[in-house]
Amino acid sequence: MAVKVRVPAPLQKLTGAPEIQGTGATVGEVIASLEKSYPGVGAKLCDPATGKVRRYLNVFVNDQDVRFLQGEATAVKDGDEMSIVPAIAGG
Amino acid sequence: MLVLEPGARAKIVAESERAWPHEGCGMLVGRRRGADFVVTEAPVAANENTDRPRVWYDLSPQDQLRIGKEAEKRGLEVLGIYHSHPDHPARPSEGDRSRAFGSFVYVIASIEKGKYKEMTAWTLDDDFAVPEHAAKFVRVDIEEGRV
Repeated sequence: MAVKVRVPAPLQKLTGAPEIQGTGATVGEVIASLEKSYPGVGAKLCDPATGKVRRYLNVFVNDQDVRFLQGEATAVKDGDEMSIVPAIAGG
Repeated sequence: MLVLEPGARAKIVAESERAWPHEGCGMLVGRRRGADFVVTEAPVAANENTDRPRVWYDLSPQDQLRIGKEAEKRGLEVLGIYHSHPDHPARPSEGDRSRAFGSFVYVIASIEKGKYKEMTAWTLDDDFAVPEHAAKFVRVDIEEGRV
């Protein structure tokens, strides 16, 4: 499955563009595919020890937060749009 | 440098005063011009923190997604974030630093007893930093001007 991935400004220096293409049948597979095309991105997105999306990032598929779907196992299909959204917080 | 359009500045002040005694927050939208941030809009986002909103903000990810898409449609981009410090100086806290992302600019507005006092801007010294980093904030000069 080819999925459009929107990346936030802090990751665009690694990807070179605000929108890139990933492939895979699930959110987790799409993220893994990005590391092959854009080395260094995978470690920013996922904890290598657990394979889980880092807690300071939110992932949306077609405007749906995957935390309320099946997380990294959320299925994606051709033409879906995945958005990486920083968890913005502070004191 | 951060070039802040007067309408955007007014929006930051208004939302920060409205939110007092809680922290208000929103996005900084505009264009990059070389190393400068040119901010033309400051759309409000919800502070979703309910435990301690006087001293912490969690900017709504849904609002962030919506604001980012609306900006892109008009050829603009999200350059950073603003939030307020109720009854506290406009200096970044350790929480602000540790949760900040590189390449964004962060504006902090100090609100004293419901009234705007001052505004400062900061960016991390590492453009690639993501939270749990050791990067430091450096001050960014704010210039008010029409773009």
